[in-house]
Amino acid sequence: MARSKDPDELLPLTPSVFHILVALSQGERHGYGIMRQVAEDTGGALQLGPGTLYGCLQRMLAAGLVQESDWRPDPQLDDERRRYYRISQVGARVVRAEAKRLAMAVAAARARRLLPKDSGG
Amino acid sequence: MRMRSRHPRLAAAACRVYGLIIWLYPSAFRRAFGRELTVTFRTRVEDVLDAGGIRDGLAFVAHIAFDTLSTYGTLMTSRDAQDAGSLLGLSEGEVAHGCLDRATLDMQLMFASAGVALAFAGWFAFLVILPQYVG
Repeated sequence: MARSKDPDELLPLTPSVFHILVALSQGERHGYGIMRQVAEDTGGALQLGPGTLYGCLQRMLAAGLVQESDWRPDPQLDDERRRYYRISQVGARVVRAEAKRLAMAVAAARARRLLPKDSGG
Repeated sequence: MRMRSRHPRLAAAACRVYGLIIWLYPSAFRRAFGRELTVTFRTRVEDVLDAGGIRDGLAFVAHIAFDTLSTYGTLMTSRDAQDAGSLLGLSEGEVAHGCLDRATLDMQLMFASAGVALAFAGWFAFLVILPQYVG
């Protein structure tokens, strides 16, 4: 994946990449923290395995969507073997653009009565 | 700090198996994320074991198998010239004709190691275990 200034060039994101960016949008997390947050955000519908997670992170690091973070939690809670990741400015722009694209798709589905008007999703 | 698992030996055994499985991945990926893969896997295993339930355990094993195969497929198809290099160190990061691919070499080494281990196991069974039953 090449670095890009225009977020639209990276769209559409895969569900895994989108949810990883959403999970990181609230702060730095390590791999397992991302896995748990994604499972929670999707109601268990998307369970990332370790290979899928780190495969995505590798591509996202290369594309500049995420960065490795120097932040460490309290030493008593920390495992020094873990690395923490944070969303980059480019990543934040890309996830916003993808969320907007998905919202438009949902609005179109709702307009065609494929979704009830009061449904959250 | 996390509480210790209620099944530390089982978790350790699963991690050892997973540690072998990740040798399937290209060496560059393994070098970058191998340790984290193992740590994350261990935490997940401990959670699954502590939650208990054979059904959850089987679902987890199936999930990891699928995850490994799909990751392997993705990594191998997206692998580019960066992973090719001359064994003599004459080329790095470029396609060098006639060179051996590191990922292929890793696979060959893995199968060769498995072959040697199986050969030792076979001889051990033939020389030590079998005579006890025959005699």
